[in-house]
Amino acid sequence: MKLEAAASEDHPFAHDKRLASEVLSKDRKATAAFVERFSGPVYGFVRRRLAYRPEAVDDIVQEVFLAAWRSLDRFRGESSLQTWLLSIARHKVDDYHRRRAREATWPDEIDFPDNTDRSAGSWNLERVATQDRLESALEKLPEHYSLVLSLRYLEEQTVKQIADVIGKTEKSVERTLARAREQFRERWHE
Amino acid sequence: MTNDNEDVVQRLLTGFDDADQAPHRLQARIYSALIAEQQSTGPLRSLPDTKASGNGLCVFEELVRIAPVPAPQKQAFICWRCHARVLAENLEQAPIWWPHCPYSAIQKT
Repeated sequence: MKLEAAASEDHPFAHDKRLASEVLSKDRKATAAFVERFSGPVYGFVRRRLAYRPEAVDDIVQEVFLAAWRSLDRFRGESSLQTWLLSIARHKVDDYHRRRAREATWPDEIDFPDNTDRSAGSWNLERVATQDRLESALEKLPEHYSLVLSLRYLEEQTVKQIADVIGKTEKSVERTLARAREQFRERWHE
Repeated sequence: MTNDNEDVVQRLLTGFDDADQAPHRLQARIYSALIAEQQSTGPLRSLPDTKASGNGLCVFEELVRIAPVPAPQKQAFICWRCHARVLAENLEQAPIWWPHCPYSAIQKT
């Protein structure tokens, strides 16, 4: 039985299975240990992917833990608890992206003029930005720009994947990305 | 399409570090929310059973454990009435140091 195998000391995730079992028995100390141990990885995962909406991070992280509690009896110890939690976090983040995509105001399908400065002489990347500056630049952008930038560069999704998430054509996504990058550059230098 | 913007934006955004520490207040709130969710479907493991399984109890939990009160009260989450929970949920560096208090333990992470 997989459950018995996971509970044996030789199983690589025996410790996680024991912790899950204790949390399921509503042991308050085990529940505290569960939060203490996994809040960091979950928070880091969600924060990176919602860099354009940092005010939403705390709520999403809490939703992940509540969803984990509700489905903890289905954790079979075939992966680590951390991996299992992060898969829940992935679903929660994806749901959030889809909600924001539906709520965002998208421009009409028009051709943006390609008037970007190709010389790039104004860029001066001496060092990698701080988190605050990145978040600030993303937050100043219109919702649809910060969303596509986040999906493309923080989630590392392809144009096609982004198009599927937000329900637009690939061409529309490419245009929006080009415009978003231009505006991100402007916000960065403010 | 210019590659300059793309290269620069990509370098900036992919340099975004993953935080590996959730804020203390958030951890405290998550813990409280989980306990509330657990209680919504039945009582918690009792304080005597919690101690018997090898866990330490904070001084207030210990008092309830040994007190001559009905069993349901030994399954209650007495932290709802504790200043440590309130402080931990609202202050990032809460001044609480009770041994075996989960909210105090969070402050040390």
